[in-house]
Amino acid sequence: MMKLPLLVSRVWKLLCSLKLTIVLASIATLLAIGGSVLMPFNPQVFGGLDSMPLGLWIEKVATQSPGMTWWIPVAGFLVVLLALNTLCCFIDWLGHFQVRWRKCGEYLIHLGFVLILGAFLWGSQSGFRSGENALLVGQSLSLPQLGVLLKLEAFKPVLAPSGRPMEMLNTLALYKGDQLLKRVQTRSNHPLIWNGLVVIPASYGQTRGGGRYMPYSILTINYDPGTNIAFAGSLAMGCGVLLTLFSFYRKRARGDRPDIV
Amino acid sequence: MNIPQTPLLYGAFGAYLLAVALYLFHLSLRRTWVWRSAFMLVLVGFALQTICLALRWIAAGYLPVTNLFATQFFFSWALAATYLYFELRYRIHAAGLFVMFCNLLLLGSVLPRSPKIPPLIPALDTPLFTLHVSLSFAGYAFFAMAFSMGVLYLLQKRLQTKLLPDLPLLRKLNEEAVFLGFNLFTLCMIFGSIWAYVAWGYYFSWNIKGVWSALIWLFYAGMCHAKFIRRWQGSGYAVLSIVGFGVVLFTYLGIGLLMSSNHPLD
Repeated sequence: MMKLPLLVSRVWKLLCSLKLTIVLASIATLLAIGGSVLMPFNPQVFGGLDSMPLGLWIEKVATQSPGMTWWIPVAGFLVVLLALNTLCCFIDWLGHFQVRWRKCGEYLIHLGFVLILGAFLWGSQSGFRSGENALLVGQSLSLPQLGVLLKLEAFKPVLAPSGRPMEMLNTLALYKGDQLLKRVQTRSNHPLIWNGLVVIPASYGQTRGGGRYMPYSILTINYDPGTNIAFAGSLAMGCGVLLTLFSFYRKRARGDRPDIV
Repeated sequence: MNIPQTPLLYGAFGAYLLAVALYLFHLSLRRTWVWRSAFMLVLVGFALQTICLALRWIAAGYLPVTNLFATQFFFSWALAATYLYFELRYRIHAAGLFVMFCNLLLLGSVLPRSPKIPPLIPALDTPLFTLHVSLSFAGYAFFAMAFSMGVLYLLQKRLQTKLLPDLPLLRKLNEEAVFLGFNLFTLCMIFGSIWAYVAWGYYFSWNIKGVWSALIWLFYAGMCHAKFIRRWQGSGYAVLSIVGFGVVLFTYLGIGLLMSSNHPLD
């Protein structure tokens, strides 16, 4: 019978294995390539993927068409295993930091990948996405999941000479009880962002009231609790890339890259 | 602002065409003046393309990479820049012929199209767009170079000719192209994700373009590891470079032109 320390050591070696990385990345890539070909031809199944968190989509939509959607959870599982493999490599590297510190850049990229995937999974399970939230100026919308109130204080659509909508200027305020948390004028690429909540001006319409037409704003309201972690992961990955490039050219300049044989 | 685009575009195309012809000549003749002339012509073509790109950028007020003409033109410019990088660093001469040939195809196929710059829609009016697109094509250009080196590696292994660089150098260039392409593409994905978050409210889109871009990243991440495994070194790596570029081309042109995506090219 194999001794426990030996077994643990072998499992750890497997979890840190480079071959495991390649096997998992290859299978996940091939599976997703095959599966994703179905996506453009089945919008009734895959079209709603961006309008709800992945967890909800799997529960509500994927279970209705398992023959077409099984590859998403399977590829997802393989990517999670890949992230576990990456995390183990990162921990192993940390254990040998004194001799392998020059690989900082590469391992920051590893850490970034793990953080982004972890954040994505968290957001897929605990977030929400809501489109088509129509608000007139002065109206409020309660977001009970977060215990906050969103108020549209001002709204002005900007039209091109052709009449095409070019921009939607919304002044949005976020309250917790009577306390103002944030007030922002939103427009394209400038949403209201607060603790994982993001409010985007998506469109607008008009309604008749009091003998005149009043414009109303249509807002997309998404919440993803993992956003800050994903951002930290992106930062780690970005810094990792820059460090890796710096290290690559430094090594080449010093000529200490081993020759390929 | 009136830009003399046509003479600049045709001038660049002509310079690249002559350069390719001279490199072909160099393959059989092996004269120093031939590759030097070819290299000078590439430099001239690249300078003309750079001037054209700069003038278009100034005239538009943004980096014009929003339609098929503009993206192919930018991709062609990035390919020429990548070729120059490897030529200046490693003196690859005619080994870069394939990349220059791809460049000719890219530039030649956009010449009949209208170079008119479309107005910028507000959603694209952000530095994140410029960073995302330019880094994406820079990454694609290095992947194209890796593809080229992969093809040459397999050819050299079979032919054992003195006309091509030796196998260790081709392998080194292939690995460097994949490494640099992966790093640039990673930055492209980061900026793209941040942009998607502020524009749509989520940082990963399940649109087919988003999925395939993530697959490109995963594929080349795997390649950056595969070079450390003996079985995948050399020929295996060359084959992976060829397959990888197939995935890149499908993601850029196949999805952009044939499928409905959030990155339309027309």
